Amino acid sequence: VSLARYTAGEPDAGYRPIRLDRREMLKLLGSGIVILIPGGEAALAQGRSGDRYPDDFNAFLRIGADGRVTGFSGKIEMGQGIHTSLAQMLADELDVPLASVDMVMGDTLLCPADMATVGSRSTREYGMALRRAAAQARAVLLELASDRLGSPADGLAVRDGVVFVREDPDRSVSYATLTQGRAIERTLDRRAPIKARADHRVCGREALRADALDKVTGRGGGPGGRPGS
Amino acid sequence: MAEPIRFRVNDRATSLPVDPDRTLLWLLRTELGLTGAKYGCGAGLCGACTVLVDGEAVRSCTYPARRIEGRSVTTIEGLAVGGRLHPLQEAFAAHDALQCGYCTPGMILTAHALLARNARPTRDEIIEFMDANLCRCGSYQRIVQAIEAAAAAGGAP
Repeated sequence: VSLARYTAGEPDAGYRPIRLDRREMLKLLGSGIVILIPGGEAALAQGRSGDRYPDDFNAFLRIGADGRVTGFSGKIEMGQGIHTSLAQMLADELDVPLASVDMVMGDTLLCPADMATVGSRSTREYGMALRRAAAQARAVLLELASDRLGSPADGLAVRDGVVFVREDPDRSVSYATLTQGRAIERTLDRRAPIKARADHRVCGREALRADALDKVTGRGGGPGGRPGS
Repeated sequence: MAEPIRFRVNDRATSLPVDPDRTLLWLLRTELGLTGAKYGCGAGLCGACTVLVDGEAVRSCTYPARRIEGRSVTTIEGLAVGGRLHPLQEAFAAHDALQCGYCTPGMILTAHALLARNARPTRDEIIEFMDANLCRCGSYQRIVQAIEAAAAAGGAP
């Protein structure tokens, strides 16, 4: 898939043209795999009709060239713990350590437009959309790894951000290596299957709150995540 | 122009002109950029603004800043030494003794003052001492647990 053809809006079977404002965002994000979800689908995930949300693309996550995962959410942390739980969801779907996931929240330039952080919707609605984006990212990474390792994608497995051949674990490649210097872009044109609960390794287990250290040291992380609030 | 006063903040000698009606909270937050102490009620009732002056917990929102002349102030930013968290900070994080975090600096510093005078407080003594620090998220149970854990870990200063 060519980024140039995308941004030019050239018809490309199975993919929708990207809008200009997203191109600006891609520039900001730099290299790495970017998974985009069409605005309509994001709105659907929010349980809202499409016209209540901006009609644009929403980026949910990035896998950087260093292998770190950055999740983007228009929701904010106000003590309810979603800074941590959304990161846990990403870690589970991508098979990466929780410690390698960073969240950017409530940044109106970088995060998917979102109405508000209300009604206990972050987990069951935004969380599901985030999971699907992560599941799709994992599928893309497995395709890239399959090319790289010369092994069918369905024979691959992932542990701690490293893709390996199930029958021959020495043949492996990390997400970091796969994403190095590359900007690949796909839309969620179908529902990516998310993991079954039984396969969760991070969600549902105790984790140190991502905002705890900032809050006990006074560095920041006040309500809404504002330093100095 | 107010006369400069000399004091220490988080072990650093400081000298600043301070107006007579300035409260310690705004001296810390505005002049010194130490925003760990929070403005809550502004009337000394909720404890979010608590800092230590010579080891005693004071409500900085009503505490005249000029009273720190010649004294030593500790804020939440000064509690970790050389990047090592104080046992109370560690315990608050480990026990999830916080949600929004707004009351947390005041809770930790009040608990610090408690452990300074009573290294192994009973549960009732903890509750009594912490009674005037409000947590609107309702993390009280875990806050008490964290203070117990910090005391057991030798958290007294």
